Amino acid sequence: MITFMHGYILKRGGLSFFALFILVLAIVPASTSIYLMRTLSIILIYSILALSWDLIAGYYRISVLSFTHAALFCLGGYMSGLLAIHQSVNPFISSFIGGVTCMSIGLLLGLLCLRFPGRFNLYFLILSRGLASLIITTLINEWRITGGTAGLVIPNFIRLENVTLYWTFNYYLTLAVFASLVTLSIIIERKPLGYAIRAIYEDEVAAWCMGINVSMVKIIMLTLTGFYAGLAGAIYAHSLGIVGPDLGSMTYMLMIFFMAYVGGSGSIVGPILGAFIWYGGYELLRMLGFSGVYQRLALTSILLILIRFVGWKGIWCGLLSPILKKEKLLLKFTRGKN
Amino acid sequence: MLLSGSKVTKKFGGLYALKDVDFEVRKGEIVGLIGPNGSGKTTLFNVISGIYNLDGGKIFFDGVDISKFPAHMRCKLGIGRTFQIVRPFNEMSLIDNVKVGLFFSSRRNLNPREVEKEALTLLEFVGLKEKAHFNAMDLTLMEKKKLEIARAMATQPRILLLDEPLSGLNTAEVLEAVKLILRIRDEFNISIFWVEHIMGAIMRAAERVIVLNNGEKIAEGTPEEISKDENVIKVYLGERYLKRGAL
Repeated sequence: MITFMHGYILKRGGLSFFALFILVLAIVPASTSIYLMRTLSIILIYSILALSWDLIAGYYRISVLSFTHAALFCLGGYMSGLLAIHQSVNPFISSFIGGVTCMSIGLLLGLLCLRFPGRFNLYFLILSRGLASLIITTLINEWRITGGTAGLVIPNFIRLENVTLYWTFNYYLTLAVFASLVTLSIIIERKPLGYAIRAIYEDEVAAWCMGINVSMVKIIMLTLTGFYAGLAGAIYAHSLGIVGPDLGSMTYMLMIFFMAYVGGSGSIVGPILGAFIWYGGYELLRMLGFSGVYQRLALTSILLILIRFVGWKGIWCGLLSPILKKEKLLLKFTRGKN
Repeated sequence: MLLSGSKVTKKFGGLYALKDVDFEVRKGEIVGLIGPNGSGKTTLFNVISGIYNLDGGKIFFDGVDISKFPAHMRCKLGIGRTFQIVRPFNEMSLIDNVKVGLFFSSRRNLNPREVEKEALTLLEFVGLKEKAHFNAMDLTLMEKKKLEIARAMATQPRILLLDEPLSGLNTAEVLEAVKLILRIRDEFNISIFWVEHIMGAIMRAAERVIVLNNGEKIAEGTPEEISKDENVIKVYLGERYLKRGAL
């Protein structure tokens, strides 16, 4: 039986590994094509989304299966955009306000539903999905303010005539936010909060009886990840200059789910890898001549077949991490837990 | 008086799991809790540790009414517990299991190195030091029970609720575990409230025994008194126990 600990692979040298990774990301696209920087920006935004979602809903985490994450992403973009348009707030400040708005929604949702103990809290599941619908429906129906399904054209962070320079700026901004989230996740994993999260995953009642305030931990994590979802939405919207209600749709929610689980839920590397594979594959298929809906269909099918072999632990935790740690690889052809 | 309850009542629907149960545990005392299956022993522990809310009565810990406190607060006050069906954090190493307890105990300002040292000391105390970096799921039942005790001790309890720590162990292991429990009391001065079905062990170790039946307390006293009590013999011990004279 393979017994390994996903989160703990980064225990030693985790921070330096990520510092190197971020350094590479910072150096490689400098003065290269706009296309590469734009693609990488979107991948990083998706990484933020997938990683922040995985921090609450993933394997080895607190099992708060949030369906609001994509809607918060969307709302962050709208909030920031509307403030920038109507109140002429500086986009940097409005992005932050967008994040804080989503953070408070996360806090409210947590206070309402996460005070009950129990894994896979059904009330939370229903309310988070309902809240997502509420946010998106409101954004579509209030078309006089939000522009309805057509979306909203919003100002960019800075006005630059030079497009290369513009995307370079956006890229580094995204990278900074991404780096902050990754650092935060690594720090959390090593602090008592990380131990609490692991303990809650293993056994909630036992964790509760050992002095861990289970609801508090869940609410803190939901609030924190809500902030990052909102901030990611705002940055995405401002760098593309447009925000639409489809960002919060179930398609995007499932995409987050897919990225986290294809990459390897329950680790920090996994969701990031998932985002790279997902959007990278998407762009690769475009180059190969797939377009529109076929692009997504082909990609999903390929990834699902891949998942069939590496198991539900995903590419990182089921395939790459055991190889790196020189463990016996168990490609799964049978159902069940390994 | 460290822990006491007055008229503790817990209902599941219309069924009384506990009905007007009074109990008390003094400092440094080992109190046994016995009774037939379904008599409410584990329910009483769940009520004391805060997993269930009370439907009536009050529980006091060191003079403070803790009836409305949530479980983590009670743990921080000093009520540690183990579970009948062991609940280790399976995919964490033993040392991490113990560390969780140390991180969230009432003591503050422990630096990581101290926590590590303390965790190893506790594992050594229960005799699991060599396996500190094993995953908890790879242990035998006996070791898991020891781990549960180490983990509960890590939360710096003043009273330890042991829910059938000896069930499923063989004779040699039972003796070892009883020795361990006595050492906990003697070395750390922790009171022990102990549910058990193995009469030989509890009658020897406990200073006082409380007997529950159908959620009601039917007897309380020293082991000698309990073993001669007619009610207790009728509902739990059985006639043969008295004849055999096993104590």
